Amino acid sequence: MKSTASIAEIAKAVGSGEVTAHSVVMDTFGRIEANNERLGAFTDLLKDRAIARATTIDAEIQAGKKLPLAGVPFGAKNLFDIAWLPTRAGSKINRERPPAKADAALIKRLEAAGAICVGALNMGEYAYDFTGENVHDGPSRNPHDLAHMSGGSSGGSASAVAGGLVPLSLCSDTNGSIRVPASLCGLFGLKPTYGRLSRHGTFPFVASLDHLGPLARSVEDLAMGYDAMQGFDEEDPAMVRRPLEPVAGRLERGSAGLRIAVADGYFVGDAGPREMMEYVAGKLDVTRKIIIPDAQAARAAAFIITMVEGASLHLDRLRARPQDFDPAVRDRLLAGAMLPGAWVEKAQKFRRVYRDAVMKLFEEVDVILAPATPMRAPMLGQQTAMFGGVEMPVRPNLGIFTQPISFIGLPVAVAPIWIEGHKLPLGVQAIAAPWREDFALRVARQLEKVGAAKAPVARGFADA
Amino acid sequence: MSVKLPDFDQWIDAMAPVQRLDIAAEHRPGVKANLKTAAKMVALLDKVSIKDDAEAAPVYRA
Repeated sequence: MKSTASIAEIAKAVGSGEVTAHSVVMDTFGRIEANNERLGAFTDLLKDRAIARATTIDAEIQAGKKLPLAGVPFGAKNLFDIAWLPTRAGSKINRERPPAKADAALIKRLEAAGAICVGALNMGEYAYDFTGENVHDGPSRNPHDLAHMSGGSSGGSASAVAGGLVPLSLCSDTNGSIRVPASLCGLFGLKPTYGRLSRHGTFPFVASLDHLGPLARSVEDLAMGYDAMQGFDEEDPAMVRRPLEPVAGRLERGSAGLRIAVADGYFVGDAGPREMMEYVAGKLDVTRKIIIPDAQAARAAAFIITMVEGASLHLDRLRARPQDFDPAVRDRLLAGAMLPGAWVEKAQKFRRVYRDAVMKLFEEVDVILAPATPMRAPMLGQQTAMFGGVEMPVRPNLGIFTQPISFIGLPVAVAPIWIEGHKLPLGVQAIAAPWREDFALRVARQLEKVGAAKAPVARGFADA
Repeated sequence: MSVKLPDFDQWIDAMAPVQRLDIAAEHRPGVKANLKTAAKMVALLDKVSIKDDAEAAPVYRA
């Protein structure tokens, strides 16, 4: 199968016996071996395991078994447990851990649906990152221009999908780590509602903010991967008991009947995101604007909670071996270990107040649109950029538009928007009320249908 | 209104021993920069008034 093949195409070809899962896996490793060094996407490859799994799937298909993701190769950010690998979570320290005894819950679910895990993907250390740069493993690169950042912390997950190595990757998002790389690498991404997908078997960062979700090159692919991962898991204490709510069959309704508004005020941003949002609003025929109240304070509160919870998680490691951390991560965690408790308590109280205010907005609208990042992909190594006319550090500021949303666990679909005259994409967030992933994805699908959003394999990585 | 920022060296000297953290000299500028960012963030949060009966959401349920 070609690097541009969709999940639906692969699953159909393998499911019908037209193509074997074995040949899909061999094609995948051919591409990974040819391109991974340039992309910095995979940190571990599971070739023997993937071939064995493909052989099993081919036998099951021959025996008449129906598998919705038959033979679909995917990668998982290296904070997902993969049996027999130490779960490094982008760090040097964690690779001394014993190998994981079992796969993470979401890997198990995808494989139960016929998908095949082919490897672990590069990420920013301990997920405290928006750049995709990693001092231990090297940066994951933006396939659309290798001199630019992939975005993070799920950087390898984005490089692998935009670079055509796999059609699907698993990611985490605490403050924007699915949505920032989706925006910078031009991919569709889904950060589901907090408590929707099981986090069991993944290395945490900020438990009260951690989400998992997929990146893909079309809304249909995203939905197929997401649907296969749904379902309650008592091993994740934050999971909410919900019925399965598959979305793949609802996408073609597009934005029909949905009340949509563009986030104003805090979310307006500089010329780049402003131009993109005007383009998107035009394509969707949306004129309504809405203010998300206290979004700046929400971002600040998420920032404080992240510093303190992150520091608490890593305190023993910070005491014993600070020199082994990525310096940019270490210094933030060290500072986080010294913040007053009253600050974080206030942030947690504000979280509920803010949640109540935003929920009121969803009485009037179904989906709120906002840019995913304040700029297109910065250059690798770029330390500062202009934000609102002021030079500020790139690393924390890439998440200014994503943090106020994940802070209260809202589901978000990112759609990658390409505007003439710009060589790189910029993502739009379609934000919905809790448990309405379908609304967010339908808006992303509408943007895809009208040609405003697309996620091609990057030139130079797509098969002829 | 500009925020009056504390002395970050004093802060580190007081808190690092409490947390049994050894802040190496070469790490200190980065830690100070992050404390400064945190202080600015909490100033933004302090602009919001929160009622006494507000309950925290340490594990958020949507």
